[in-house]
Amino acid sequence: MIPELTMNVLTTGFGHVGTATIDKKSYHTDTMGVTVDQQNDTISCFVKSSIAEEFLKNVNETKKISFYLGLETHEAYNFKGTLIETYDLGSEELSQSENFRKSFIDKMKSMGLPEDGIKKIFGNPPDKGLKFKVEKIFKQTPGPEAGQELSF
Amino acid sequence: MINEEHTPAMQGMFPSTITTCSKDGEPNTSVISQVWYVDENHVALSNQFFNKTKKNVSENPYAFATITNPQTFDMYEMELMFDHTEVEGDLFDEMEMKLEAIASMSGMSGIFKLIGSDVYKVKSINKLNL
Repeated sequence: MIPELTMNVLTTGFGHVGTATIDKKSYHTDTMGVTVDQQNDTISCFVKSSIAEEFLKNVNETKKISFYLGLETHEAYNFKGTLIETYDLGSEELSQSENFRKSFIDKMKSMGLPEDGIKKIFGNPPDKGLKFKVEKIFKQTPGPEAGQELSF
Repeated sequence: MINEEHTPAMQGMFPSTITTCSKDGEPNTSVISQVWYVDENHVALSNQFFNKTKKNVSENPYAFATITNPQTFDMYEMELMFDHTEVEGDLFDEMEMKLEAIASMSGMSGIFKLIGSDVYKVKSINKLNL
């Protein structure tokens, strides 16, 4: 079961999902919201296909995923696993992403960043979901425990 | 390759994302404080404690990074190839000083510590069409 202690970062953190090609080159893209099935150890993260063409092509070939999520407090985790499917996002997930992006934009504005700039990155919705099975979780909060594997 | 359009995104205002791959094909995505401009064909990344990234590029030199211009919010993707590590000299000293400043501003003094300046050759740099 995906540990409860990671849930706040999973649902409110800023994420980047990476993969590797068959010839071991790497790609990543930003994520804009997630859904988590704690019981079944699966995560679905939302991406914009318009800026993730190479990433999506390669993740569908190799199925390998490294999903980094962090908060402004520096608390961070890396979820590694295998892609189950990519799919078009439905209305419920788009609504969830909208709430996530609005919250993120508000947070960035409160830090003094310009709304127009933040919206350039977070204003447009994602369109694809990547559902993957979590096989390993690593703590990535800077400090002596960085890189420690969490049991689950 | 790197020009004045890109250098504002290398000032450490926003964290950058990096993904590497092990010799067994396992990706690792992480966040770093700064992608440092070295010259028009090279950048340096601070090696602090991200041991998996360091281990991966020692086995497989390919890396992928994303940087963000803090004024325009334009984002750029870079294909990189690890070249060498510097543990002393001007580049290391400048990066160490900047890292201490970033650590101080973000409440991470004593935790962010530069181990080495990892220099990468830039294979490509492309603006994301946000």
